[in-house]
Amino acid sequence: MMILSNILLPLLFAIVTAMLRKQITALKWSALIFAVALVVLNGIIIDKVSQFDYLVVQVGNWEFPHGITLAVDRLSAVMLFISSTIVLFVIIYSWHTMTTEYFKNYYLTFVFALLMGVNGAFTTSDLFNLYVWYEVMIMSSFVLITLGNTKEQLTGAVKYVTMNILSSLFFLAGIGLLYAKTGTLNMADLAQKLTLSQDAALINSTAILFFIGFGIKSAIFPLFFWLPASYHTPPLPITALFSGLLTKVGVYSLLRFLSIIYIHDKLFWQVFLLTIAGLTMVIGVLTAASQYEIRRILSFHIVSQIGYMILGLALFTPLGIAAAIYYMLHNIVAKTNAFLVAGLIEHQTGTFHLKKLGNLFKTRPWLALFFAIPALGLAGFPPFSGFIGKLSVIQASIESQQYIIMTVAVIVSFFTLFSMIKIWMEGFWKENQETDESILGKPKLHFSSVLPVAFMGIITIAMGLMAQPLFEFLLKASNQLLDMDGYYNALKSPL
Amino acid sequence: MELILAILIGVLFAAGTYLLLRRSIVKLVMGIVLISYATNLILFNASGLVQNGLAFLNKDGSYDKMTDPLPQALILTAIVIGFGLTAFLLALKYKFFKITGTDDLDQLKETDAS
Amino acid sequence: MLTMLSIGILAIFPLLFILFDEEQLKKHRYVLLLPLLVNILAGTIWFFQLQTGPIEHHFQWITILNIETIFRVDWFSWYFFMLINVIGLMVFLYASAYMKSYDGYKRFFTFLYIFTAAMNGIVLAGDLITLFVFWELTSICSFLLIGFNHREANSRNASLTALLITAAGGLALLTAVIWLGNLAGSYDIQKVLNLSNALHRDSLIIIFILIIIGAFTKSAQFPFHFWLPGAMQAPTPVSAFLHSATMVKAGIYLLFRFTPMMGEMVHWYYVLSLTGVITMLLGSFSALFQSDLKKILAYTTISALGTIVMLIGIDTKMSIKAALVFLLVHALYKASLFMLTGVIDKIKGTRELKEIGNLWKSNPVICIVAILSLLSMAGLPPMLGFIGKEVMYDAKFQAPGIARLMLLLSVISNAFMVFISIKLMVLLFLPNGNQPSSHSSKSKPAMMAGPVAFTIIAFVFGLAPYSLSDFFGNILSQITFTPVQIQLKMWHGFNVVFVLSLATILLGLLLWIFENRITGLFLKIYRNLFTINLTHSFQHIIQYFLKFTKIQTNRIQHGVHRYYLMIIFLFSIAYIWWKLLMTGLYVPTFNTENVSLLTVVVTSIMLLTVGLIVTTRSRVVAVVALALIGYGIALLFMTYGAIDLAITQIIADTLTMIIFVIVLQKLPRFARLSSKRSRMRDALIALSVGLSITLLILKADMVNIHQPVSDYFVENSLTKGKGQNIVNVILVDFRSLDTLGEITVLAVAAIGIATMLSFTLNKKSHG
Repeated sequence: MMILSNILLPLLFAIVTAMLRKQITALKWSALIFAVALVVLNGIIIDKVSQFDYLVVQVGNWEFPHGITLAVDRLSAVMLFISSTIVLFVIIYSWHTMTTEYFKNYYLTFVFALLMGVNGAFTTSDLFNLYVWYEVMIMSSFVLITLGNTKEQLTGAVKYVTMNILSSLFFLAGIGLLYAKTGTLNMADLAQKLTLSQDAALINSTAILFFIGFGIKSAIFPLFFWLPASYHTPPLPITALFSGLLTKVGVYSLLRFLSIIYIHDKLFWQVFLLTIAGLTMVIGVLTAASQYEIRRILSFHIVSQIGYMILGLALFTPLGIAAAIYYMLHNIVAKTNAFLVAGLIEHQTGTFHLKKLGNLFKTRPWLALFFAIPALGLAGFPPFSGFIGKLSVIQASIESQQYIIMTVAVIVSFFTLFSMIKIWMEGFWKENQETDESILGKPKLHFSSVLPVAFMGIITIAMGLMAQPLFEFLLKASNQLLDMDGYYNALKSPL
Repeated sequence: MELILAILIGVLFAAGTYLLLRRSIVKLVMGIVLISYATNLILFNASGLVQNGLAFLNKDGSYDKMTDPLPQALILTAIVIGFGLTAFLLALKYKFFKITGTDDLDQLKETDAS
Repeated sequence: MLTMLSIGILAIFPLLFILFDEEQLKKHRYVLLLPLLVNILAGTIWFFQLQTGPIEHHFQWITILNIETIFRVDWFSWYFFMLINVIGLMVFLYASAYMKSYDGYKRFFTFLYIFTAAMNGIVLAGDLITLFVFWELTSICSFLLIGFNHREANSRNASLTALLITAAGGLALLTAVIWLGNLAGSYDIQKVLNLSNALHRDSLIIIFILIIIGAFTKSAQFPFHFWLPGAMQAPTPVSAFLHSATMVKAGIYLLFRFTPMMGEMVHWYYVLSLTGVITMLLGSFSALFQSDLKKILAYTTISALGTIVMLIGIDTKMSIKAALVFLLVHALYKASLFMLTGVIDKIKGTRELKEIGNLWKSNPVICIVAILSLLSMAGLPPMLGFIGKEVMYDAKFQAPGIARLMLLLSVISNAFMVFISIKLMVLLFLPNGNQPSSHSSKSKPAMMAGPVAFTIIAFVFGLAPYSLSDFFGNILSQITFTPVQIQLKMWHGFNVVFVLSLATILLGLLLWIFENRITGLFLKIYRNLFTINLTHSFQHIIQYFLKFTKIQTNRIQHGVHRYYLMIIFLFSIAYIWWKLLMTGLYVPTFNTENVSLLTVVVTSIMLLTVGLIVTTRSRVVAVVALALIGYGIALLFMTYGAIDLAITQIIADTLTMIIFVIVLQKLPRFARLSSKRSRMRDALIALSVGLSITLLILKADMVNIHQPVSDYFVENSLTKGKGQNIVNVILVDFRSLDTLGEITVLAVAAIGIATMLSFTLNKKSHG
């Protein structure tokens, strides 16, 4: 029931926020309470999963694998938790940074609808159901990215919408072919049927369609173009929300889906994924280095860092996958945080553009501190979360003797540092007459927009310093992900 | 019949792709509609075409010619979702034209490289 | 726990600054010395504890990745620890006065404390990960301190260069560390060092390369040396502390540590001693042509670092001993000289050699201290520098291989040092005709304390070097893992080494005497040798890199939507075709079993209509054709028993067409925008996509891994689902969650469209 409420509650919240939209204060407070409730719920789910390994619901009590089975394992649980946490932070951040117009125009409704889709995607074990949640998610994201209808938003949205629809269509076509071949839609059932079958390799051609579908969603090379074209156009809280949730659903799906079919064509997937991972890392980081707009730098970096996650997946060892999940969690927190700090910079100076910024180190030292934490985190400096991420990825590569990709990963992290330092030098250190206090004044900073930034900074540090329990959990999660029999049995006859 | 259907789907995909590669946003929308038709047909193909087969039971639970009902249910969902997406895309197209005054996709460069 | 305290107190101490404002802190600035005094006390306690063996503390960090935080104090780390904290004490005292006129007093000391904490962390770390963590922290602190005057572009560029170089080295080191940890199953330095015999040669060489990259970047060895002169943009206390006495020695510390593991390697010998000798000569030679006092000192620092690296490379017990002694010598005289430079800078308002002069008259104390330090630098008695140089010559003379050649080069390099020392003494202290400047000529006691103290230490040890023998013997035993006895004496007797010393001094004197004639020649050599200015080249490389990425980005993220789609399609078909060819193409069998005339006719009409859509220039025709295809599909659905589908398809299709028509009325006609060639190309891609999909479907029809799960629905539809229409039962019962999602999509789309049409932000309220 708890799992199902992860889908039904956001729906309920979406409806309630839609009804409350005229009473702004009530709306904001109720949204806050809803978000907190979801965080608590997912905290409990993590606790339960640690005890029982799997939480399974056969929706409508239909016999497995005929109905839709919702199943939460450690990977799902931790993704659910982090997503609802990000939503909570973004709602708090939006409190004063979003104008009332947005709240009146269903902003929070769409946020909860988006979360419903995301939660559904993390919970379901049914491929077609996953497609449906994808659609809920992208439909909500379409509306969110265009909310406000500025010219930039619409221009970015055309690309965003087209490529995302295309991704769904590839995915749907894949489902059609897969069903024709295997007669099942449930992933655990599929895994079981493939292990029992002699011809498991025959579904590899179908797997392409899935890979392209998920690949577009997770913005890997060469399918990422929609992301840098659109992510910087909507109001900042929406960008931050997207950077935390959307591509990660794609990566999650890749992890989940490939864990089933990887073993049936091991050599191919390894070489293929390693190539993709390397190119994604390199292209993302090089394009990021050329940018002078903070949001664009960060957007391109999303692409680059997806590469690290794919790298962990490509190794397909327990450590590699654990590293990929850790990297994903680290990235969700640090990247969302970096975007929120960018928002604070814009709030204080009126611009995201590095050429117009300057001198913030002197005039806003606290902003420098807020920026330094996620920036050093993303660049992989110790003792922040990114360091553990980088360390575990390198360790996993060495363990699998993949020295080339290890070298690429190390070099890319150097250029990541370069981009972060670039923001620092241009935005914080450089002298700039235009940013003089007398011209700018001192825009009032609300507690609500600082709180999430500070909190996520603390998480970034804590994930580094207290990595032991988290990494232990993730290593179990990755072993669980690789254990197909366990998955099947848990779904077939849940506790 | 599977062969004919497969060819039809292929042609629809090809036409959709071709339209997607044009510069007009209207053609882009049409391309998406065509490809979504094609994907629905792929799902339909998975139900193993049975002529005049029905996904209906008689009152007593017996049936004459049964076709796999699951893909049909999936297509139904997909059609509705596809309709929602297309409608949104058309609204977006409308709004975009209203604000920018262009239908040419090549004019959409400014949000990319700066 | 003392180890944690000694690092922690430095890291936490700056938090107290919150209680003070800048002026108060400047007034009570002696508080700043407190943590360092505590550390020196800790060091004293350790001195007694160490007699019974090393001190160790273990803390768990990420046990699941074998990462454990270990602090370990042995004689060698104690040596470094005391060096850091004693010099640190004097530098803090000095800086507390020096920085009084600067803005950001608190900020400066915060960075300096964190740096000192990190530096202590490096030398106390007993495991490689902890060492690395502090290693990176020193790079960051160095970056922040070099860029302390960040409003100036020079400072920013210098700090960027320093950070990029050291961070690149840091990454190499990290890779080596993880690699070693993976091989040893632990990051504990002791366990790792014991690994040497079990290691595969190839991986050992790679690890060796990575480690020396890490060490060379940090310790400014050729060709990474160029960041160090730039780092002189930092305030003088920082130069004295980070960039001569401590941080740049971190790389050397690392090399010392790895000597027992890699010292036996041929590569170690050649790479280290050659790099060291090049760096040594390069540093001292370049120093000849500088006019800024700090730059001169920076280049002599590079030279000294090169000397130490060379000595480590030779790796005999004598040479390690020489390296250890020379380390102390250099730290003392260089810190002293840097601080004096700062004092002179404050008094004269300049660091330009030519503009100072005549100091003897106004500030004799400075001169005496400076002369003694310069004597140490020149390696002359009675200072410790003389001992340092003697043991160095001795080590090389006794070592095998190419050491003799290096001995010769060392004599030359040292002669340069003698020359520079003489030149500095003469130019700074004797009258040169310049008017005394209007600056206050008083030097503050706080700023003189350090140089005086260090000079006295160097003087005392210079006279009584044997008092250090036991101590260095202990360290040497620890580094080389074998017990060693050593002797340090002032007078070695009249032997080859003594002759070499004499020759060095003579050569230096000759250089000075014939300066006017030689300078021209040297300058020519200098210009020819260093046509490439590495600092500028590095800045250029960054600029080129930015330009390159700009071009690259415009090529990749160019903004033309259809090319994005084209790449997605090209990627997809390449992938699909490759997979199809790999798994084999299936020859389709044509069965006419379920083909009816109706379906054939319908399909043919649809195919024609598709052609119409693609080619037509009329929007109305295109929309109608699209609708026709939709209806055609509905007909197909109907033929194969899917009545519900047909109805839904017709409804959805009709609604879509209506919206299309509404929208189209507001839009312009189709224009033929693309050229014939691009249309041909697109058609080719499109056909390839279509064909590959067709083949995929045919293949899917052939493969049947398992029977569909649908039988269950047929059986249970009536009994459990209470419905005869199985499709409906599936939608509302078996897969109700899909339907819920589907309705949500529609609802969101409806509200979204409504919002889109009604809500347009006016520019002002954006953000």
